[in-house]
Amino acid sequence: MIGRLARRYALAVFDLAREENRLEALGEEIGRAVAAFEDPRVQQLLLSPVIDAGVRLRTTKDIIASLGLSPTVNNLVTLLAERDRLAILPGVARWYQGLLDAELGRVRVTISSAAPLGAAEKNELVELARRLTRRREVLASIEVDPELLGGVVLDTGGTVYDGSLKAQLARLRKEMAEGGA
Amino acid sequence: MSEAGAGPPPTPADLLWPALNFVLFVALLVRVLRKPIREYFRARGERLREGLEAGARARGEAEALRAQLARDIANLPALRERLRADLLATAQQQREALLERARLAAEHIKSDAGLVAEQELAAALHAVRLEVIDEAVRQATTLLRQTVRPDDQDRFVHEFVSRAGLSA
Repeated sequence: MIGRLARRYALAVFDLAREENRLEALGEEIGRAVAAFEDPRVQQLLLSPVIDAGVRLRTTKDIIASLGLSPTVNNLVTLLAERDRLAILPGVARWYQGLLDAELGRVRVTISSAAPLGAAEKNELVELARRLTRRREVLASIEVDPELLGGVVLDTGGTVYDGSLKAQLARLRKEMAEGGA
Repeated sequence: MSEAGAGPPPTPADLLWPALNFVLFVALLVRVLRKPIREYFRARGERLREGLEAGARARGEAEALRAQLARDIANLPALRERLRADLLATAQQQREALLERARLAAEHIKSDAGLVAEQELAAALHAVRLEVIDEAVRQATTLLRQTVRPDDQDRFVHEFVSRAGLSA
């Protein structure tokens, strides 16, 4: 329900951003707003039931004003605050990012590696992600996870390609256990 | 001289009217009461007859009952023997049925115990097998942590890219 609501808001802002030809800039602004409202002190203030709703709304508007947002994003955040729906702002940002990525033909992937990757290996993996997702641009974030023991895991945001030794050991364990069942 | 208050003796003509009145009274009485009286006596006779018949029937039944009792008393030893034989036969049947049921129950218990033992053995074997596998995986994990070198990691990446690239 919240996901669908966030998607509706994201679609509306995305259409406006396309009309303004500021797709990436608005995405960055929404990200900034999310970061500001995710601050624990701000959260404590805005979610506190002992603080008057009018005061909370005024504080929210002050924060929005201080961020120097464009009118479109300003209106979005103000509208969410007035309707007491600021909690879905991170969801709106995620949906917006997804729409933006699809529009620009890019994909975000996560590469988990057992050890730091060299430039050549990283390029190979990004190229592999491009071929697997059939997108023009790949935004890769790389994490080092020694628990993988060896190899890499490529998460293309929905499909996980697991080439780690940890996964191979898990498969081997499962096969041996089932073989004796 | 005549006695005071004494009149001349009544003549038959003087008695004619009272007599006629009496006769008419009697005739009327007879006409009115004849039917109810006859009905009363008929009903009474009927009740008496029924009472006598009921008494005769009751006596007959009592006689029959007495005769039956006499026969039963005469047959009592035979009846006792028959009842005893019936009871013995029933007890024997019950005994055999109980023994059969006990035998079947014992067979089931034995069979169930065998199955339970087999299942427990299989579960224990499986648990041991899993423990051995887990230990092997633990040892392999430790070994891999100690032996995987950076060039191995590069090789794993190349192999992964080759394999995953085939599915692209």
